[in-house]
Amino acid sequence: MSPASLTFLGHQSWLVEIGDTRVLVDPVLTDSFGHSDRLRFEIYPARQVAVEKMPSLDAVLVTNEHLDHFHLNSLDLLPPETRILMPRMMPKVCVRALEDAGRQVELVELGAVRRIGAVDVVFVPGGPDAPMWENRVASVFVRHAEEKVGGVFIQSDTSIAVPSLEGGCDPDIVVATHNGQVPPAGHLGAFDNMLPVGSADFAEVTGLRLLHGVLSDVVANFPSVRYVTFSGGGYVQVPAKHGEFLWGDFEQLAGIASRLSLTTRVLGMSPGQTVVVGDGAEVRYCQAEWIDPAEPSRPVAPSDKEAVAEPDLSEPLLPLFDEQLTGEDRALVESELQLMAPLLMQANLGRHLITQNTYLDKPVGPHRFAVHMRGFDAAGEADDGSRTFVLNFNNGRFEEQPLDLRDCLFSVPSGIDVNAVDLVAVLRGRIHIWELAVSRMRQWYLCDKFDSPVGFLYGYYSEQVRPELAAELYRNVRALAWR
Amino acid sequence: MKIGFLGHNGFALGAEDSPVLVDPILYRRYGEEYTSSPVEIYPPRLIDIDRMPRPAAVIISHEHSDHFHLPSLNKLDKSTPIIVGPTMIDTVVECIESLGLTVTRLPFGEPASFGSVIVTLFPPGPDTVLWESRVSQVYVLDASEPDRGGVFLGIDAATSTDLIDAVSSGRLPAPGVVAMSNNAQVTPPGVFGSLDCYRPAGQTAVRYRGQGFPGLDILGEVVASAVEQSEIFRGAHILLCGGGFLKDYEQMGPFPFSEQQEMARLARQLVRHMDVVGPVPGDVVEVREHGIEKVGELSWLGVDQERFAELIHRRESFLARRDSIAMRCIENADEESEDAAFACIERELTYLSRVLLLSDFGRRMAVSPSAYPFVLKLKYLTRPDRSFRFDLAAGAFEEAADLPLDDSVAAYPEGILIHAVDLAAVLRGDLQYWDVVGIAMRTWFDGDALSSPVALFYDALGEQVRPDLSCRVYQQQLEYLEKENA
Repeated sequence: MSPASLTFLGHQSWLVEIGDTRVLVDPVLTDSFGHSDRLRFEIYPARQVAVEKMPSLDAVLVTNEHLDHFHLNSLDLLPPETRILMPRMMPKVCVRALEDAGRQVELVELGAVRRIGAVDVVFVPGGPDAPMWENRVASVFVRHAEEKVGGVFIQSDTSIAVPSLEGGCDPDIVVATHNGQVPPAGHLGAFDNMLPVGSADFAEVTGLRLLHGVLSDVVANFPSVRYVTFSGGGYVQVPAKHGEFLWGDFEQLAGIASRLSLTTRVLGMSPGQTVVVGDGAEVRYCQAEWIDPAEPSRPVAPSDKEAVAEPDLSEPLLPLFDEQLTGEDRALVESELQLMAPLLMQANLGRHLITQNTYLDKPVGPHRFAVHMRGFDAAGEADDGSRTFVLNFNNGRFEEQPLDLRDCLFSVPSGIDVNAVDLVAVLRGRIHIWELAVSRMRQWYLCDKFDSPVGFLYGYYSEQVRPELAAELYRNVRALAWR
Repeated sequence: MKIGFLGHNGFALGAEDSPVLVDPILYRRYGEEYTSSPVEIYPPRLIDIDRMPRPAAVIISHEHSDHFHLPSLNKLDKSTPIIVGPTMIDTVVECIESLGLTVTRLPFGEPASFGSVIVTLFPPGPDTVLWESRVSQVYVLDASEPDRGGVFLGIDAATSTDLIDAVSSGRLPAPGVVAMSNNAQVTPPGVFGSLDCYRPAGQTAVRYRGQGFPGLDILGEVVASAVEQSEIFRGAHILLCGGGFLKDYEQMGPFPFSEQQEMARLARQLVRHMDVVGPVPGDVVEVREHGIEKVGELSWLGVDQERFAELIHRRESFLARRDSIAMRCIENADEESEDAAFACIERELTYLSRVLLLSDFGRRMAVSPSAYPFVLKLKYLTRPDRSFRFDLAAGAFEEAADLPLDDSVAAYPEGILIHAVDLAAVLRGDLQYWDVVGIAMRTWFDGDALSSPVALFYDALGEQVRPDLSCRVYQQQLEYLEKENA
């Protein structure tokens, strides 16, 4: 049986080699990803990929359209004849961006087997419960086309499902997505809430639940798998938001998990590491010669899981961009809000808000969703320039209201707090909504986190719904050309 | 308040010279009074009973033999008050009283002082399985600091909603320590565990319980789910206990993931703002500022380190060899005993039919395509095996052609294989059902283990609904003690 060799490039990028055929999955080959030079997501632990020394590829697979998987700058570094395969449902805007650069893209049906050299590859759809912005994500399965046993299953940002294949699907190793991204105490993650409402989750057992959840999904689908390794959450923000994510140390987690199994070993891999499995022998490790460990561009503080701190909402929310808003910008924001209003009211967030008739023990009026924008107008003596637009559920329009952030939090049951200039950057295709939400936006809400304002915005400003913004992002990111 | 750990689910709480004991097993093993397959408390202990202080009281949480052990109670001074809850079965109370001890039923929710502590019993939460439904959960406060969080012993049951109410309404302080039982009894590949599902070699359709990350599942259950049960546990620390017995898997040694010290060490890396500690027998711990700290050792009970190391080594080499254990026959099987066995089984078949029909299993099977959803396959050593299939339409067992095991598994959705003499012994009350599951049975089922006939018989043959069978071992224990005294 041919062994499978699996090299970790960092975050969620992998090189699979079986029977002399090499397939690269979701490559980020640069030091960081992101659409702007104002905010980079640097791969962590940091490494340098020497693309010119990378072994020749038989194909590149891209599992979804998100910026850390479909990374144009990296794809542009590959030889022009490189085969690029994507799932059939990949948004057209992504395919066009590659075709504009003279590349051919092969679209593959979900679940269909595509032969590449000595291997078969399959894009595997996830379960039906994925949130809207992840519902086109496919995992990847690669195995020897003749032997039809073993192979590598790489979970992408979706739940695991087993493809139905001749001879079954029984991978030697499963790459499990650990996207916990648990911020240290005192920091809000993208979905976290400015309201001090008790979350449904017990923070005491976050780490345990995280590890259990990731591995349960693997075992439920591949009960006899011998090796599991982790990917995901492998970046830090520059400029810094905080230190390391909690429970993001793959080696530590793998050590714990392996001690809690009799049949399965979890391999904690670091970028540049290769594991060879599936030839009957024990797993072998080696180091890829074309990936070197590197120093992060800014020091990354280790985080203390025992630290206790509440987020300080009075701390300034510094903008990413520093331009003054123009009249055109303001008009753009206002018209975008009006376009968004009916969609927000139809979304789960709106459905929740229309039934929420009391808030903090007071009756709720028609104003139920606030967008608090800092620096919307130029600051004056008694005025910091912040403006608040609130969605009136009785007329379906956003209306400007004289509410500061505190007023908003105390009287409107849901909303976001953002710098106007950063929001304009999203609306002009300079950064993606995800980049803003994880860095400089905050929200409050009283519903499930996937139905929260951020959850809604992830869908509304996704590549699927707003391809014209994605096209603009791709134009802009090519112009940056940093590594 | 000092918490002394006696091993498994036994505790010595409060003042060390006059503690309140909970569920003490004061012998290295229990069950040897009546079976060739006794259970050893693990980690193994050295006990010097003469140096044990006189307890202020002894609490028996429920009737299961790993909690209630007559020979241990017989070691107590006859003036020691024995405390049980309102739902303890009568036979248990009568047996204890026959030793000359006085038993008091303490009503649920009513605090009572013994020595240096205040004890309140609570009924288990509604999610508790039937066979653990008579557990009295124990909440213990330090009498000198009654407003400070105490120790909550959940024993083998879901947390009492009465306790949650009492704490939420301010009548009792929130617990500082929650003792959780890790009774998973995970077996490695090749060892058939109590709730495992047998499949012929090569068939791997059903997930085998020991596969994947059973240790992580345990921590999910006894740490994460425990905390998530209620806000009242926020700020409490967890004491991992239970799982402390060696069943008769001689070659295997202890169950994997039953070393609570190691389980707690792993758990601590995955939790925050709380402590998880797994004591070993003899440890005395106390809640201090930063969690649970070991503050001493019991003078009269401790770990038998030599045997402990030997048992761990035994398991390591068993796992390394990928060894397996064949199905056992516990009772002596000869022509005579096998002759007698069937009459005894036949007498109970009507009862077992009714149990099946009235259960969730029966309701499920009523709409299944199989006319014979279950088979009882009796193994004999001196004659051919016999099979009794359950005829759904007739509501009764009927004898059918006996098939080899793997063919039986293919022909019937669910089934049990057991030696006729062992089943007869359970149905006569010479063995408890707990003694035969796993090691002396092979069982297979379609759905969830907890709704299979195997688990169903935990209820149907247990102490609570069939005290006439299950409590007979108490008589055997008493007879054994009489002989010992004589």
